[in-house]
Amino acid sequence: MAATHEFFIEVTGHGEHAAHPEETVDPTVVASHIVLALQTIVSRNADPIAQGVLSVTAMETSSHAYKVIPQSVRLRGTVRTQSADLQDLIEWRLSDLAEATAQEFGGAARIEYLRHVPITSNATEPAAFAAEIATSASGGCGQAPLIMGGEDFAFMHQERPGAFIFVGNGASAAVHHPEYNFDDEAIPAGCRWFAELIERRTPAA
Amino acid sequence: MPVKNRFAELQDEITVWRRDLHENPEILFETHRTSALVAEKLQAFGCDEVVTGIGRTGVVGVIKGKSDTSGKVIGLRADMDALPIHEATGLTYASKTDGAMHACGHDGHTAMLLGAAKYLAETRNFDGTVVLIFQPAEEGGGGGKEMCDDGMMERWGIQEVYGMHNWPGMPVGSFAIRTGAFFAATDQFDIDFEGRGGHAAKPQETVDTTVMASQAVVALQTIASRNADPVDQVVVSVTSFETSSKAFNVIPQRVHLKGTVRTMSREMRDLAEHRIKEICAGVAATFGGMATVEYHRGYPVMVNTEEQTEFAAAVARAVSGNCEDAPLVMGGEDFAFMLEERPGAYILVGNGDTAHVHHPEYNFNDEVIPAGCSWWAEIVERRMPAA
Repeated sequence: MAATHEFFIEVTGHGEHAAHPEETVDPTVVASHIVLALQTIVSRNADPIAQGVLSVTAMETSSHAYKVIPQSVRLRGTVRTQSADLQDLIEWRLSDLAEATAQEFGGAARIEYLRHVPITSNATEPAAFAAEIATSASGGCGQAPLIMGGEDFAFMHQERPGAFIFVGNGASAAVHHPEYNFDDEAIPAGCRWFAELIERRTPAA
Repeated sequence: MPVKNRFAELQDEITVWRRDLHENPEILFETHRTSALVAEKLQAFGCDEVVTGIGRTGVVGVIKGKSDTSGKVIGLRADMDALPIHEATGLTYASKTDGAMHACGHDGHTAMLLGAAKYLAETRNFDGTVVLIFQPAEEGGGGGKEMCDDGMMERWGIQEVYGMHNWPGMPVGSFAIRTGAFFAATDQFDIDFEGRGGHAAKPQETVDTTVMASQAVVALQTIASRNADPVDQVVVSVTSFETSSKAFNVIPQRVHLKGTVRTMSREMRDLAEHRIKEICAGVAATFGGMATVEYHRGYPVMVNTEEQTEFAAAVARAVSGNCEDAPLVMGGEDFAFMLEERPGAYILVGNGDTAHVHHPEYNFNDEVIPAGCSWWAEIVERRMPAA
């Protein structure tokens, strides 16, 4: 599962009356250029084989009046990546593009970049073992796709080798959906996997 | 002929009225105390007719000259409303109302037109009729339009209209004017971009409105740079940008933009409205979303007619010895509605080296009173000379 990072960009221009753009540095125009420029990180800078998402999810001008050009604009968004190289590239390009674009228009950009959850990567040997248990418990173990969502379990993986597995919940609504529900029929398979994992990894003498 | 002697005598009295108005500011159409005070004074001066409630809280006064062989009827207009600004002048007669202030000098405009009315009712040294127009809600409420919509021009047979505004940065009592377009048309727009919201980690399932709206903000810059005749004037400002959600892991369903358009001609105004709609629809279609543009037309372009402007400038030169060419003003002025109905002219009178209008430290300069009142009186006496 992906590393989940969050960013804030504060674009500061110079606000004034909307009838006098010549006296302003319009932060809405600057921020819009930044949003567009950020699209090129995935399309132009990233290795096409690597997986990454950068989404600007919120944008708000510091004022909401019709006739005032605001002093600043705040952008917020998320970055999801599946590799350490891409993580670094995106963070670096994001700061660079935002600062340079703001400067180009005579404004300034302040960036806060928060590395929340790291990549959840299964270690090879524990993952193979976990799959073997799953196969014996339910007769098969599918190949999971890469997930661009984040998983807090990643922190435990950073400290110890291990594996993270998916167990089917049937044709229910997706997680985070207001109509989702855990399917109790998954209980036997889930419990069996945990129990067998212990019994086979640490067999009784 | 400098200022009229009578106004040098009346200056102290008019200053008292002006400061009383300054202390008691009222916003938009809520000019109840001001309107009552204006009506009471017009009655006391001996106006032939005083009517309240025109354009909600507007007041109209009529003064007939010694004779009326010319059949001429001239309208003189002042605005009465204050602004929602907290005063920071520290004056002894500063606003007694929190969050309301005469920061545009409408207290001075009203006091000067009252001063002219007092003089004209005393002397009546003209051949025709003067209609004194005191309007509410100049600051964004369209009070001038409401007075016109109430049939004011027809009811009193007004043939020409004149208006005046104090102007910080010009020497006290000096004048400036221009023919043709003078103050800008001021319009507003609201734009909604509708896409498909979703999880920020799954952009492929969404239609991202933030990208769409950003693209539109950038594209809208080309109205001024690529569509407008470079000789013409246009300002398109996107002043507010708001995503419908503020979460960091949700791509929002909608983005709402707000802004303003300032233009100096009907053609440019039509072009700006048309291009905003076209650009937003086109950008939205490009990304598979939808754009809804609401374009609200506010004050039209304020246009001074040639003959009346030349006359007004000649009167200004007679009063103060000079009349400058005024620059185009990208702000709006409600008097535009009256000038759409009747020929006339709007003039600027210097307020000296004060803070700008709409600034919390602005104050009308009472030294402007003799020149301002003289201009009003001379407009009447020269346009409709006594037999």
